[in-house]
This record gives sequence, C-alpha cells and structure tokens, in this order.
Amino acid sequence: MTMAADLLSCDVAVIGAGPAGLAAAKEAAAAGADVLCLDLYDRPGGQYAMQPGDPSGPLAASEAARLGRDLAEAARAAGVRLLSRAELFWAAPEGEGFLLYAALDGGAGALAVRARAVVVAAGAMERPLPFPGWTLPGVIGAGAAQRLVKSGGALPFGGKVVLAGTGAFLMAVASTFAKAGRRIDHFVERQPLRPLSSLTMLAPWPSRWSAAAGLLADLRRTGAQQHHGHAVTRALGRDRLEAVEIAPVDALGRPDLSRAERIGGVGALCIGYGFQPVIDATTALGADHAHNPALGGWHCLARPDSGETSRPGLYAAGETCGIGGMRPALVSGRIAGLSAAARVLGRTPDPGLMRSLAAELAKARRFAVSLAAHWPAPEAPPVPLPEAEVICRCEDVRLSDIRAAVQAGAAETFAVKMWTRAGMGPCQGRVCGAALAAALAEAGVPPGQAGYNRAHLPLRPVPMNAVHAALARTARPDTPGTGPA
Amino acid sequence: MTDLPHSADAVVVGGGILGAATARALARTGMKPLLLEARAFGGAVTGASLAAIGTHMHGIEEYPLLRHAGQLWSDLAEATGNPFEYNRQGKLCYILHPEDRAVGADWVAREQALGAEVALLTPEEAREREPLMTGPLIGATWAPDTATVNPFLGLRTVLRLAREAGATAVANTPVTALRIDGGRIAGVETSCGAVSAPHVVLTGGPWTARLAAMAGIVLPIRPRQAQCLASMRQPPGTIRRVISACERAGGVDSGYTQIQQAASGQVLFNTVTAPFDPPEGAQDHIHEVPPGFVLESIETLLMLFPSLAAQPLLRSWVRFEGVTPDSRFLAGSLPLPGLHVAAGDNGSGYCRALMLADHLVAAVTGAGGLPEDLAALAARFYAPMRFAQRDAA
Amino acid sequence: MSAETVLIRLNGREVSAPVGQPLAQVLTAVDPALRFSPKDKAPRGMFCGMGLCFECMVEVDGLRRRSCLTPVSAGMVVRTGEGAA
Repeated sequence: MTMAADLLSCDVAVIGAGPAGLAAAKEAAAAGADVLCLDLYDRPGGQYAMQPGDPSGPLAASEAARLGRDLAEAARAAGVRLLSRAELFWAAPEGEGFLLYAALDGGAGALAVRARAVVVAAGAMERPLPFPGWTLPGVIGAGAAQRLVKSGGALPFGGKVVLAGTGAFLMAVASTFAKAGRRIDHFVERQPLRPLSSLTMLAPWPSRWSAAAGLLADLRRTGAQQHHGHAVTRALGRDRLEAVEIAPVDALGRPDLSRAERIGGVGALCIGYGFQPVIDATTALGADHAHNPALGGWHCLARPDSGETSRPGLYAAGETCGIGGMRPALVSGRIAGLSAAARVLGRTPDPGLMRSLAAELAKARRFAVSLAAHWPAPEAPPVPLPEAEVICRCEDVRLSDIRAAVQAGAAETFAVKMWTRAGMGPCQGRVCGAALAAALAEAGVPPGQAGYNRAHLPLRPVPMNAVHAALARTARPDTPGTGPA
Repeated sequence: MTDLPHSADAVVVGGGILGAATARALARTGMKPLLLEARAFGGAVTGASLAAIGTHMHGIEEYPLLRHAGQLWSDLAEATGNPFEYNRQGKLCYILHPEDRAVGADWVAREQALGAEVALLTPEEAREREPLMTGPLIGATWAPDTATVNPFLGLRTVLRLAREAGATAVANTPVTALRIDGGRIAGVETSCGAVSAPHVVLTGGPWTARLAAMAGIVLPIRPRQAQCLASMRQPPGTIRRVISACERAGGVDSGYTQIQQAASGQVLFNTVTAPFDPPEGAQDHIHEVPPGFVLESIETLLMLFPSLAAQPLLRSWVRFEGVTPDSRFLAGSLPLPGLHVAAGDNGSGYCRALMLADHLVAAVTGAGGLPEDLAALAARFYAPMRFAQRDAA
Repeated sequence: MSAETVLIRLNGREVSAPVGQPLAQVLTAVDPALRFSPKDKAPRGMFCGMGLCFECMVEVDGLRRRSCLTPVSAGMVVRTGEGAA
C-alpha cells in the first residue's frame, strides 16, 4: 500500500473532455478561473471528436477529429490543465466546494482534487438492449465499432461486418467506416426507408442538408447491403459470433420471425439502439435526475440558462443532461463553463450572452428532438427474449431470475438488484439498466417510478491502494503525497 | 404481486430476515400471518448484512441461545438443499498485540467449558487455515462453528417457506398506524388500506421505535450507521474463513472488523473503530460511506492480506442497524395485549433470526417456541421492557 | 498504421502489436473471447469499447485492466481467458 497521490486545487473542475467538457473548460478559463479538466481517455475529444490512433490517416482530417483538436487547443491556450487517463471514482461535497478523486493510468496512480465548482460533462454510452445471443464475443456496440475504427483503422474481427440497430448514429458509424476505407457487409435499420418523412424532418434545417447527403453517400460507399425495416433477431455461434439472423419488422416494430433470414460468416455485429447519459458523478453528488425516453432515459437536470443542477456549485453539460449530440453539447458546455467561472469569481455572467446562448441551445436541442422522434429508440428489447437469456452480463442474471423477482414483489430497480444481483457487478448496472427497466415496465412499473442505480463509491472499480492513496490525501492532511497540496 | 388482505391472524411488520422468519414460524403453527414490508424485502438491513452465524466472542450468557440459533440455520440448509450458500467456514479472530493473547485465551477457555470446539492458534496454525493472511498477527482464536449465508438468498428461502406454510407477504406497503381497540391491538393501517388482526409483531429493525411509538410505547432502539466494502471477484479460496479482530485487553476498543469472501468471489470487508451514532431519521435516507471508514477498512484488509493491494474495490454501501443500550435484542410481548417485538439487532440479527422467530411464536400463541430451558433464558435475556422497568424502579 | 510495432507477451506467447493501440484491439484480433462469465463460464469479449462495461477485463502485468482503455506498450504481459477477471 505504498501508493502516494497528488492533491490538486482548482476553481473549476470539469469532468470529461468531449465537446461539452472542453467548451466548458475553455470558457471558464477564458473568464479567469483556474480550470482542471479530467478525462478517462488517452486523448481529449470524447467519443464524437475522438482523435484517431493514426494522426496521419484519413480519419485525422475528418471534421469531428478537427473539432476535437481545435477544442483541446483552445482550452489549453486559455490555460486549462488537461489531464488524460484520469478516471473520476468519487466526488463528495466539502463546504461550498467539492472533493474529487480519480484513478490515473488505469489505477497505477491516484489523484485528489479540491474544486470550488464542478462541471460534469461525462457524455453518453450505448444503451444496450438484449437480444438472443447478445453476449457472444463479436457482438459489440455500434459506438464500440466507431471507436475501434478510429483508434485502429479497422475492426479487429475476421468475417463479415453487420451494422444494425436504429438511429442517425448508425449512419455516422457507417460514415466513419467509409472515411477509413472500410467495408460493411450488411446495414440493418429497424425503421423502414422513409424518404418523404426524412425530407420533411430535415426541411426546416438547411444547415444540415449537406451533412445528411454526405452520410447517405458514405453509407453507399461502405458497400453495405441495406435492410431497412429489419431488426436483428438472433446472434448465433458457439464460442463466438458466427451468424446473424434478421427479420422484417411490422409497423409496431415487431419482427416477423417466420420471415427471418440468416447471414453467415459474420465476425462482428455492431449494434446500437441509442444512447444513455452517463450519470454516475451527478447521482453520486445527489443532483436531481429525471426520466425521459427521448433524452436517453435518466438524465441530470440542469437549468438551461446556467447549466446549474439542483446542487449549488455543481453544473452539468452535454449528454449527461440528455442525449442531443455534439451541437447542444458545445453550447451547454459554454453555458456551464461561464456560469461556473462566474460563481467562483463572484461575478454575474453577461446576461445578453447567456440569453443568446440559451436560445442557441434551445435551437440545437430542437433539432435533436426531431431526430429522436424520427428514429425513436425502442424502450424494450426489440425481439421477444427467451427466459434463459442473460440480462445482467456481469453477474449472469437471466430474464427468468428478474421476472421471478418482479413476481415476488420487487417494484423498483433497487429491489430487483437486491433480489437478483443484477447491477451489482463491475458495470454497476450501466449495461443492464435499460433491460431491467423494460422488465419492470412489462409488470406495470413505469421507468420513472422504477428509479435508477444511484452510484456509490467507487463510481468505477479502482485498485484498493489507489482508492486509499487518494482518500488519505484529503481525509488525513498529514499524508505525504507526490505533489503540492 | 400480491393484493393486501383485509384481515390476518397476525401481522408482522418489517420484511427483513427476522420478519420473514417470524411469518414462517407463525404460519407453521397453522396461523395465517401477513408479512408487510414498507419497501423491498430485505432491502434495508438484511440485504446489506454480512450474515455471519456463530457463537464466538458474542458473550457467555447468550451462548446457549446462539448455539441453538446456529443449529437452526444449519438444519434449514440441510432440509432445503442449501439454496442460500450456507457455508460453515469457521472464524479466525486475529491477535496483533502480546497483551491481547490472554484475552483470546480467556474467551477460548470459557467457551470450551460450555462445550465449544474453539482453540487458540499460533500464527503458523492460523496461516494453515488462511494461507494469504500473511500480515503481522501473533496468534488467533479459532471457532469452527461460524458460518455465513448469502443474505439475499437466505431471505428468499425463508420468505418462500413462509409463503408455502400459508403466510402472505406484501412489499411496498408501509404501515402508517397501529389500530388499537378495547385496550388491545386490533390491526394496522397501511398506505394501501387497513388490515385487522389480533396480533401485530414489530420486526422493523431501526424503524421499530417509530412503529412502537404509534402505540405509545417507548423502545430505546436507535439507528447506528454500519457500512461495508466489496472488492471485485477474486479466485475461490482467496479468503477462506470469516476474519475478525480479537477483543483487546484492558478495555481498549479494538473496533470491529469483519472480512469474508462471498460465494460470488467478492471480498466483503469492513473495519469500524469509532461507531457512528446518527440522529433518529438517518435511516430514512441514502448515505455514503465516510472516507475515514474506507481508509481504515482498506488498511486492515491489506495489513492482513497484503497481496490484495492492487485488487479493485467494487462497491460500498451503508445500512442502519437498530441498537439497544445494552446491545441485546428486545424480543417478546409489549405492554399492549397482542403487540410483540423483535428488534435491536445490533448488527447481528441474521444469526438470531430463526431462534427469535421461535421465541416469538410462544409470545404470540402462548405455546410452542424454543426448548424449555432456552425459552426461560430468552425471556430474561431479551425482555423487551427491561429498560422501562429499570426506569420505573 | 504508421505506429511502431512492439512485442507483448500474450498467454505465454510473443505477439507483435502497434504501440499505443488499445490492447483490446490486438487481443480481439487473436481471439474475440477475452474471458469467461462468472457463473455460466460463457466466453465474453469486448462490448462497449469505451471503458464502461468491463467485459474486456484481462490481466496486464498482474493487474486487472480494461483492455479497451489500456494502450499497448512494449513487453507487457497479458493473460486472457480462465482466471483473467
């Protein structure tokens, strides 16, 4: 137990270096605050604006990669201290400020941070919905596929690539494949082709027309055979994915299993039914959250004109406040950064600027809402599940176990967790949350009533010596550290 | 989900292990009990428990009751095919300071005199039983009769048996008032309607004082904050026994330590050197583990098991135990005919649950219950109004 | 990829891998099954790819790491499969 931790102090700590976090950090620093930005990944950018592994490859020139570089550069130029490979594992109030604890380099080091205000811009993650065979190696999230192509230039699986699910994001993934010169064999979108309604949806947003056309062209460039109005009904294979079954869906989204067809020789099934906000830091700090399917389910409530949550001094921006994409993330990040800086510097943010940013945010959110309505994310698993299907991957909890718990009186996520262990493993319910909510909804408990898995220490599994080193730095002021107090 | 009946032979209020065991014990006499839980069965104290079952260093006076309590769990595991991971792995109480060896030896001698198979071990003997415990212990006491169960599965089993025996169990139904009619209990009112019953048993853990107050009875049960940490899954056999601290000499507070590996592979551990007494009502809210507790718990674990230092911490949780002034249960009938209690677990309710349930059967029905010699001891040892009587005297 | 290639030790075998690339990428190319689930002992592989599902945990130099967040470095000793996590 020889690890020693740094203790850093700052005015504003920003959690996450995606578009929202970088925008918040830059604005706060430019306003005169001392800003520290912690990010889990190797390089700033988050998911959307992730920096590709090959800085001279074709993806480095993409608009998203450029955005990430520009945002990180602007943040650094404004004086932001950017810390990569720093994973927040606990946050607690201290007086009017906050104490934050992070693991460094996957737990090889530890850090404590004393901050007067915090902006959480923790982003989003896949909102996985189980289907038969979803635990087979080779079945990955659509977001995972995009990250892999960005980081390594290609998917590491042999065999055919199937990209499936629903939503505009699938097109974005296909576009990344196209830009990297990679092939997709099958593209399976749950919604039928709806050229007319797509045009109607896009009509009021001329600034998006060229991007939309580009996405369509990129999808064609991947060479994918397109199956619109189809859903994946099964992943098949013994020790790894070998084949995928798809079937047409009816107007209610129900697959017609009698017309299922099999795609053989598949190495990777990349599947995405939408995203959910990452809310572990904001739930740990006790901020108010609400449930809205159009925003990815449970999300942190933040005032649109200040980004402040129900907890004074705690701000939230970007996808943590509800899925909306890069544009609302950028604006909400600026709003939260300006407000957080104003709070710690004892100023009032320029009301004119805040008003115009709030209006810009509302507009960006309107587009996100129309996109979400065009591709509604299914709330329940898109295919009927066998009772034996694993729902909680961490603890091997089956659908039958969950149904038995509900039958025995479990009427909230917490109770199902107590009863079955679903959500007690390393992912802490992030992966099974949507499926548990669906199982409770099936029994008459709406998701808003079923509640969420509130995060406790540690937000993510962290080596015990790292937890000890970080906590000792603040709980025991005489603990020697590796840096200035 | 079950509908709330309008009447029952007895209402048991509080769906933890003790309430479930009481409902089962009453149902086995032919009664139709109703078990009511405010939120989720086992969701408060029981599910957060480490569910250790044993007699060692719990007290000489209670020893016969605890031995019986442990036997009931062992019998239940055998009768049901052990669906709740009952594991009689034994307990090691580590000794760190030379002056404490005599304390351990004294416990061992007194328990041996009662027929227990306890022993005082050298560090080498301790390590034979716990190979990865390479920390600086100078000895240990050893109690082979200590067992653990999976607290969720134990509750699920007892609840299932209660239902099979004729009990009804309803979750998400807080009791809002006790009905009193003609100087005796007449039932309960709940958020979902009233239930009439000639007997009500309060098994609400840290909420029991509030329930008893609905009948104007003051019970000295306060909440005490307890907490626990869990590591990520470790290989089977990483920690083989229940590990605890030996009592210290000269009244030095050794605090409290419990370390064990669950069947899931997770290592569950906690060390508390300064118990924290929160205000009444704290048990109604979600709390986070205090940093000092996390530091002490990790320090104790890694002092004993240094090879676990880089293993990931996975979870932490806080629960509230009901504590009485003398750290004994209050169990038996209250001074309102038809009203009974079993609460004040002091953090060790799991062990005593089946035994106390039998004790309550006698209180409610006037028959059955514990074997005769134990019944007299239980009546004296757990007398629920012992503090009121003391105050009156 | 223009990245420099280094050797890592995977389950006792030398494997060459581009330095800095997520380890999960290298491991998956060898075998998409990285570990086994706790009860069913079913094979599992990388799933979310962004550090939040913990399905890609393997043992790296004796420590349990999410391979999707662990960059390849020269000489790292990696264990997958039984007993990895």
